[in-house]
Amino acid sequence: MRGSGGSVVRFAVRIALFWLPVVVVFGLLEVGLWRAGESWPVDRVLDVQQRQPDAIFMRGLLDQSFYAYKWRGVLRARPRVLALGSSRVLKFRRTMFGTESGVFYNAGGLVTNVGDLEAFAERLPPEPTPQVLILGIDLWWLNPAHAPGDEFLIEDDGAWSWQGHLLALRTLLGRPSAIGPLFRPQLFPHPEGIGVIARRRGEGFRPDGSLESNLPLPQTAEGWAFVDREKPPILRSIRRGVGFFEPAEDVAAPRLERLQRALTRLRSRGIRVIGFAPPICSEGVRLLDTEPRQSGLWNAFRRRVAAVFAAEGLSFFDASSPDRLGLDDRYMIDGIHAEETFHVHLLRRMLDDPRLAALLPGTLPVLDAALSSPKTNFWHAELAPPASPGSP
Amino acid sequence: MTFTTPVFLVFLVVVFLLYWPLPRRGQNALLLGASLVFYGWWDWRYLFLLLFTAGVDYGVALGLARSDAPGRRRALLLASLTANLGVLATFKYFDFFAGSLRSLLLAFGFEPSFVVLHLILPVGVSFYTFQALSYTIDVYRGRLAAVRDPLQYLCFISFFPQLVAGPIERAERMLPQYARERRFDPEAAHDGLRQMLWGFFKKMVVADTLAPFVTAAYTSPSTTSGWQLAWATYGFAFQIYCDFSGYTDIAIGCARLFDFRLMRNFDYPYFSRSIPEFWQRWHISLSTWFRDYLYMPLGGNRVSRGRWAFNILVVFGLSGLWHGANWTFVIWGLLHGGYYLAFVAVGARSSASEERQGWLPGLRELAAMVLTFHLTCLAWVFFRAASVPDALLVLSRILAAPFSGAPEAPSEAAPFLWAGLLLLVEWFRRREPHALHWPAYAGAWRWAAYYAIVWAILLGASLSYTPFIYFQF
Repeated sequence: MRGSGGSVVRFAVRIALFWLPVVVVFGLLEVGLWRAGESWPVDRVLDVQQRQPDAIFMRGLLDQSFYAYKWRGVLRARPRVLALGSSRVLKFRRTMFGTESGVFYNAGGLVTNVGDLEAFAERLPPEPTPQVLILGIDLWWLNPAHAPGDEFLIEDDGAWSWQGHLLALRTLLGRPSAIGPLFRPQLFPHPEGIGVIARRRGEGFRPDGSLESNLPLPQTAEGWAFVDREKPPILRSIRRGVGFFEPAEDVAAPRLERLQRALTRLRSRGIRVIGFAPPICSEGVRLLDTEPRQSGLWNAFRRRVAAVFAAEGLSFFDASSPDRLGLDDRYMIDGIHAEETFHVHLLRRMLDDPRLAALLPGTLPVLDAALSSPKTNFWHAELAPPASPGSP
Repeated sequence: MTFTTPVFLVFLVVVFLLYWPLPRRGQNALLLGASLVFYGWWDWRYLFLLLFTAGVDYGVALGLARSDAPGRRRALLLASLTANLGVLATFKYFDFFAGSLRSLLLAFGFEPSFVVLHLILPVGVSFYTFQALSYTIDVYRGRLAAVRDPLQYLCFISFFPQLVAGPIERAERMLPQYARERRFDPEAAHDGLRQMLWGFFKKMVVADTLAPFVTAAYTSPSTTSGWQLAWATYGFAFQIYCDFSGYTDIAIGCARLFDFRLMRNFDYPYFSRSIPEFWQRWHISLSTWFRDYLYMPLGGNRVSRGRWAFNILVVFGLSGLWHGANWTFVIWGLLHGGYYLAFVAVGARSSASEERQGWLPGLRELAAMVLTFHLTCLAWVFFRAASVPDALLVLSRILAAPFSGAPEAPSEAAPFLWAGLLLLVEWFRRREPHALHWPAYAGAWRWAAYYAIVWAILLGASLSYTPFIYFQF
């Protein structure tokens, strides 16, 4: 060292000693996060889910990294049937597709606006591409007053974000009771889960990408009454014209054009897109129909999106209200999300089209069996377990 | 690369550990390499711009050293001024002047068509350009010998701690530091780290937590109440101080780890009792640059009173324009010029050295500080607003606030509590070069304070990325 002998080393050691307690505290908490699966990178999560079909994944402290998780899930699964859209398509699951079950993946959460859809269509690698793509399109994607989004952050994994880790550690230091279970998985109700929410609530993504909500099942007829669990409540958002429901008179024409371009691109790659408008609870639909500030966009959305699909020679199902399938709000878990049984009904309706039924052989009997099963309720359908590899 | 990211801390540790075992020339080479990496991390293409202007100035200075012919010397200086100010004019001001001229011609009924470049402003261009200009001008004036070692010159231009947001150093201070042997001084290094720690606190805990509140209010002044706009203006006063002086603290502290001394840039400016004193304490390296390279050549105060007032307004107006290509900055500068003239006219020209001793200020002193602070806040409205109409809207809403309802607390209280804590600490440490300069205190107390600040940063810092405000200048 220049002129100062070991003084640089002594200085460095002194600084290291100063930081040691901080590093120890944070290091221990990081070990806890790792043990809970919270800080596993999404590639590791997907590896583990491939080996353990019961392992669901949901972080509670770090960013969920929907984009990275679902995108890499799609690339690994290379599904023949893909569900795509926002969180409102997450209830399609592998077991609904019968003999097709091994080739289904749910990429709900990966595409939350038309920009995401365009990016998805552009970045999806060549062969093998999905043959069938079930696409849920939300009203707000085409709302000119709603921020366009356009992020498609498929590279960002919350496991690698130092800000995310710092925030997680801050949360833990502010809630010391949450630290113990990180080190002792048996203290969690669902120790097989990956991530804090999956372990604590048994809620998370299954290996097929679908969402296990694990809401307690109502036990009485009154218990099935509709509750808007969304925060903030959807009806309030519609009335106030905030959140997903900023008032607008018509759809944004440029976004509609981008939607059409994305559909054209997907179709040109031989992907059969089946579009649908996911449901909104009946009171919400009534408000959208009657509120002068809302009805313009609402009517234009359903009409013009259907027209775009028709122009592309593709099917579009308006499931924007439960009663369009002859159902009611008991099938909904909040103002904009329906549970699994609704999706069984929706899929069954889609397969009324013989061209689509031909694309999904083996699905129809499973759905019919589920819908006629006494064990099927408003939320959960009695679906046969997926065929194991190699079984007939 | 930004000081407030983990990658910078890793970078700093690596450079520090590699630096000290090297001989002087090796240290310079390492600093140059590190500085280029530091700057290129943001956008490597702009390294060529930096190296271009540095190359021109290096050659110009050597030419000046070889020539005594006044005409040739003037031509060489002109070449340096053209290269440096040309880069600044192209990247920073072209669109502004083209747009302003177009608006002016439109007002007179012409319909001109201008090219708009939409260039991305290279980070720190105003800082390193002014630093480079000080070198060629000083060589031209014969105050400084041209440096022959290109490595030393490039280090002077690109030294990473102060490259992108100052302090705007002078060649006569810095070049000798690259030429001498450096020795590791543990006390200086410790003090440097202390200053860095305080800088991180200012930037990450105070400035960055105030930023969202200020941004929200100033983005939509028409829908924000006058009270909240007033709080946002106070907030901005502390945001910009903590952002910029925090950066400077980190830069100065960082330089000390490598046995370099950078000039002081802030001297607790909000404790000023007059605007002239404020300018002795705020962005000192820029105000002294304008004093030495613009105000003095214009005649300084050795001219008629009217001409002197004109000189002051020119200096402050250009100082405003230096900050950004927008009339809001020009008005900010001119406002300060007007304040300056008014304070001098009434004989209220305090200086930091005349400060009353003691823990608490006298009433008169306190009143002067409050007045000065509010005058700076009034000017900050123009500095922060997106446009002059926006600034006028903010001011009108603030002035109307007392007549429009009961006073409101800021909608975000925590950042203001941090700012209050900072103000308190700095008041009691105001005679020190920085707030944590306390080598004489007992070790246990010092360490306890360091841990408190480290935890405040870890637990209180904003986690969203907020670039240093002065990067855009």
